[in-house]
Parts: sequence; structure tokens; C-alpha cells
Amino acid sequence: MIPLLVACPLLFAFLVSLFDVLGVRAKITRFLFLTGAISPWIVFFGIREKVPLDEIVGGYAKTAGIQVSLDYINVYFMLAELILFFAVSIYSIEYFSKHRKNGKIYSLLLLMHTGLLGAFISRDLFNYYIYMEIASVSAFALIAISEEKGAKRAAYKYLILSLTASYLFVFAVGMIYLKTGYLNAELIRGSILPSREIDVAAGIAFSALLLKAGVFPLHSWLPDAHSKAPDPVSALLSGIVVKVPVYGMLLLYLSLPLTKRFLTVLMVVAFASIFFGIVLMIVERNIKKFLAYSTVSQMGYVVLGVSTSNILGSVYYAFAHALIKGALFLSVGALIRAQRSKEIRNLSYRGDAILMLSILILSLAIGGVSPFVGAYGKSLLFEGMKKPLEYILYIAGIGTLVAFTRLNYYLLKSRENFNAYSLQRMPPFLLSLLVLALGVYYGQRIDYMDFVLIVSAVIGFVLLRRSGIIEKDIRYRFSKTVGEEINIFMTVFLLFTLFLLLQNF
Amino acid sequence: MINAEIAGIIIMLIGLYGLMTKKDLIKQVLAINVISTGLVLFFVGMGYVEGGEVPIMPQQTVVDPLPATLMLTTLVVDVAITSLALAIILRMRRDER
Amino acid sequence: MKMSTVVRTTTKLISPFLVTYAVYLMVYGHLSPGGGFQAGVVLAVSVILLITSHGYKKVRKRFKFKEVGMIENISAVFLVSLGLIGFMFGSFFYNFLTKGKFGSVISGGIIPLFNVSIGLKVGAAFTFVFYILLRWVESD
Repeated sequence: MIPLLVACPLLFAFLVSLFDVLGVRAKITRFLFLTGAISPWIVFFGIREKVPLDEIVGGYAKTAGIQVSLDYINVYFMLAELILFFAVSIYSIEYFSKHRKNGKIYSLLLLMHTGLLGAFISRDLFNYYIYMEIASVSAFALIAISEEKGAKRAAYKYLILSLTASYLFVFAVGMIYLKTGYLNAELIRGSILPSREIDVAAGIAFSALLLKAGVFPLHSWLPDAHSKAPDPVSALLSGIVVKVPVYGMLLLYLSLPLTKRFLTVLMVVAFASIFFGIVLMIVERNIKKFLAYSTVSQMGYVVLGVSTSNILGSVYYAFAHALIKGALFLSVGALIRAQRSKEIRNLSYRGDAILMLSILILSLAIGGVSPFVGAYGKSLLFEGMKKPLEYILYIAGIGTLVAFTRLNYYLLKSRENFNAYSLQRMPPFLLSLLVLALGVYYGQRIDYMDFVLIVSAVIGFVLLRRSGIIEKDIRYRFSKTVGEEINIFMTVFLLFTLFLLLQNF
Repeated sequence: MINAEIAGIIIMLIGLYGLMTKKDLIKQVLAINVISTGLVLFFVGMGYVEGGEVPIMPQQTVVDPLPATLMLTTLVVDVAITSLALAIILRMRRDER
Repeated sequence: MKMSTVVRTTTKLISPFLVTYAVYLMVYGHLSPGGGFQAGVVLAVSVILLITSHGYKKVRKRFKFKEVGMIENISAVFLVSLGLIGFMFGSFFYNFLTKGKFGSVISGGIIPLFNVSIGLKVGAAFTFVFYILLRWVESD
């Protein structure tokens, strides 16, 4: 039954495209789009009882076929994808309704749905790559569809860097196949012996996946791509598309023997990413770029879970972050749509109680404050971690809260009357209620430690504001052509890959 | 002696060199295609067995068909992305004018 | 753009044979080297040859934009539903047709159908890509 999860949205993607070519009324296309977005839910409810589940597509032998499965690792990725995509699909019906090519956009969104679901269920490294590519190709096209200035440029940068990374990933998969003769993660685990080739393959594959996840030294495509895309697409990109490489890292972690030293290097990279994201969040003025840098920082936490062998913490944190960041992008998108500005200082949420409440809840949740689902992910990440690292993570949590205090301060400061569309207000609000409900479901209580965190974050913000760093106009800009930027990013990427490779020798 | 895998890796490195040094966008897309060609050569060389036959009818020694089929899929991805990249470049040029 | 008479006559002669060859690759894909993707590429090349020799505008009158899009989407829908029908017999993409004698065309079960739909999809998609890129180039 598992392949049905992927086949339904794929069928509806082509049906939407077909009806769009035939030129039927927009209502029918919209109905088909929504059906396609909901159809995996129906299948999911059908098989929910039987998790963990395992299947070979087409009923072949395990060594010959493609294995798909649904177990306690990827079921959370699946749930995050299904919930977020449902919210985004309702949001995007309003958002794209005036767009000239909305049939094509719906079709591309459904293809992205297919790619994400297919990547999350697959247990086969090559099949995973193919579905990741389906999701990324539709992401490139959806970014390029935006009318904003610089969107094409961002899409091109993302395309070239991501494509190079995936070729290197396939190269690494080829090396693993050469040594073991299998592509299936479980069979690789069973027949692998530590060797130089496997070490090289692990280094290349991890650096490729880190690029696709947008972790610090390789993040350079992410802020542009995530901020220039249309708002619902940004929510999908930042929420769930960057989680696909994380699932790949988990697959590789479960199937390859990684050395201790390699994992330590990965942990250093994760910490660098966390703090780099926070610093740039504090000085950034464009609200969507602010959220994109927050993604860079949060992906650091997720990779940290992989590097400390804490699979469960990583999975739950990714789940929480997908919901929170998706909802943040959607609610900020509603503000941007109603007030026609992207500068943090010009925006305000005082005129709309629902958006105000949801942004407040989500900012607390992303900082890991207690009754929300973010805190549960964080507490799982902390399990089994050494003391000094835990204190560094507390400082990082305060940093995130400082940045979000700044966001809320500016949004509270000015007052503007505006009318947001109700179809754009409700999905982020419902998602933020879900964030609260899931936190309570996982047994989170109000913790007095969190008040200390919030108070110290507010004090930190006031101090920073007094010192004048936040008010200063720090504009750091390349005045370079796209080609030159690509040259620089590619050099950084290859140097990083070499650095990872040299760790194993 | 140089074999197909090493030749493939060298071609991939040539493509990466092109991405690091060339500023022209079309040349960058071509460099990506060079990488994919190297990848295909690497995989096909990997599945080759000395004196192997086409693996359609039951025979004594056959080449490994799996890498070739994998590369067929990668080629499809490559074609799709090349056309998308060219379309984005065309639109980008028009926007900048 | 329009090429000389020699080129135009030659491409007109070659194109039908390319279509025949594409059909051969589709139908015999499971018995000999070939298959859906290659057949689709050959199919698209027959149209692309006509575009390069006769010019984009003339070819578009014969192979219409809308029809190409329809072929592409219908074959894709057929392909996915072929996989979905397999569910009634056991699992996704289960080969449910009765298998014939070894080495004959019908021995593949659903594989020839699969190849035909992939071939049509790929051929139409390639033609579409060329149409769209040429449309932008010509409007500049």
C-alpha cells in the first residue's frame, strides 16, 4: 500500500496539467489540486495502524526490487510533510488565484508533493536521489515563477549548486555500489566492510547533502532562494524541502560505518551553522531573509542530532521545525501581501489579532520555550549530550530568542490597519494551535527555566539596541555577476568537500 | 593503465574546473553536462565485465545491467534540468535588459 | 529561419522513417536494446529536424502546441494508472497481463504498454521544450 502514497499525488499532478491544457474552468483544476493534496492523507489513515511497514515495489525479491518502508524514523517526516502541504495548498489557492498560469503552478506543487513523499518513504539510495531530484526540479521552477526582481537569479544559483551536489551524491552512491553490490540501505549495512573507498564515499555524500540542506559554509544559495520564492513555496522550501537531505543523512548514517572523527567534524559544522544563522538574523532587515537565516541556524540543530548519534532527537526536531517554520512563512506572507513591504521596520501585526497571536506563539516555539512542540524536540536533542555542549546550546537558544524578540518588537511598534485574506490567516493560525497542542500531547509543562531564558533574551535585546548594532544599516553586498558568484560558491563547496575527505585519513 | 572509471572521474573533475572558472552562464550549464557525462562513464565502466554480453538472453557472462539503467535515469534528470536552466537563463537575460 | 531546398527535402524524407524506428524501439524495447526513453528521443528528433529545416512557425501549424501537451499528459496519466491497476492484482506496477511465449512481442506483459506510454511522454515533452525555448528566442 505504501507506493499509493506517492502514486496518488503524481496521478493528480498529471490530471491537473491535462485539464489545464484542455482549458476547463479554473474551479475544476482547483478541485483536482485539492483532491491530489488530500489523497495521501486517506492512504495514510488506511495504513496508520500497521506502522512499521515494509514493502518491495512490484513484489520482486528484496535484492532486486526497490524497498519502501514506513517506520518510526520517517513517519514523522511524512506527517510533517502531509500537515504542512495541506496548509500550504489551502493558502496557495487564494495566493495564486489571480496568476495567469495557475494550472501549471498547481501541477508543479503536486509534483513537489510527490517528490517529497517519495523521498521520505524510500529505503534505496538511488530511488531516494530520484525523488529528491523531482522535488528540487519543481522547486527551481516554482522559484523562477515568482515575479519579483532577482527571483530568476536565485533560482539559477540554487539550480547549479544543487545539481552539482546531486551529481556528487550519485557518484558516492556509485562507489558504495562498487564496494558492496547493493543500493538498499539495509543490505548495504549487512555486507559493508570499512575501507578507504567507503570513507571517501561518505565524505562526498555528506558534503553534497549538507549543501542541499543549507548548512553554514554551504548555505550561500539558501537565503536568496527562500526569500525570493512566492510565499507558500517559501514555506514548503524552508519547512520540508531542506529536510529531505537530512533524511538522506540518516539513511547513510544507518548504513555506513562512519568514523568518530568524522562525526566530530560534523558536530563542529553544526555549531558553526547555528551561531552563524543567529548573528545574521540579528542584523537582517528583509523579513523573509530573516526567516531564511533562521532556517540555516535551525538546520544546524538537526545536523547536530545526526552527529551526536541521536537519531530520535534529530527526527523530532526536524518535525517541529518543519511545522513552525512553515507556519511562520505563511503568516509573514499574509502580512507582506496585505502591507506590500518586506522590510521588518515597515511591517506591523497590530491590526490583526489572529496573525499577532500566531506569530507570537511561533516565535516562542522556535526558541524552544516549554509548552510548545519545539521544546520537546530540543529536550530529546539534549539527551545524552555532554555538559559544556548543553550550555553552548542554551546560549544559542537565547540568541534565537533575541532575534525573534527583535522581530516582534518591530512588528508591535508601528500600527497599521490592513485586511489580510481569511484563507491566508487561517492556515498559519491552525498550524500554530497544532504546535501548541502537540507540545501538550508530548507532555510539555510550563518550565520556570524558560522564563529565565525569555527574560535574558529581552535583556540581551535591550542591550544590543542600546549599543546600536541593530539600528545600524549593515548592508553586505556582492556587486558581482551571477557567473562570478557561482565560481566562488563552487570553490567553497569543493574546498569543504576536500576538508571532509581529509578527515578520514 | 587507465580504465573507464578513472577516465570518468577525470572528466567529472574537468567539469568542476569549468564551474569554478567560467563566468559565462551557458558555459556553466555545459560544464554541468560534462560532469554528468563523466558520471555516466564512471557508472558504465563500473558495470562492465571483461568479455561480457548484452544481458537480454540467458548467457554465460553478462555485463552488470543495473549501473546502465541507473544512468538512464540520471540522463533524464540531466536533460530536464538542462532545459530548465536554459529557460531560466533566457528569462534572466530578458529581465536584466 | 529556413534552410535550403536540399535540406528541406532530405528531412522530409527522413522524418517518417525516424517515427517508424521510434515505434520499433517502443514495441520491441523488452526484447532488444532500446526502450521508452530512447524511443521518445528519436520521436522528438523527427519533429526537431523539421523545426530546424522548415522553421518553427511552419511546424507549429502542423504539430499544434495544445495537441502536443495533450499527448504528453494523457500518456503520463495512462502510465500512472497502469501502475495503479497493478494494485488490484497485488502490488504497485505488478505485471498482471498473461505472459506469452518466450521471445515474442506479447511476452512482456505490461512492459510494452509501459514503453509506449513513456515513449510518447518523452517525445512530446522534448518537442514541448523545444517549442518553448524557441518561442522565447523568436520573441526577443
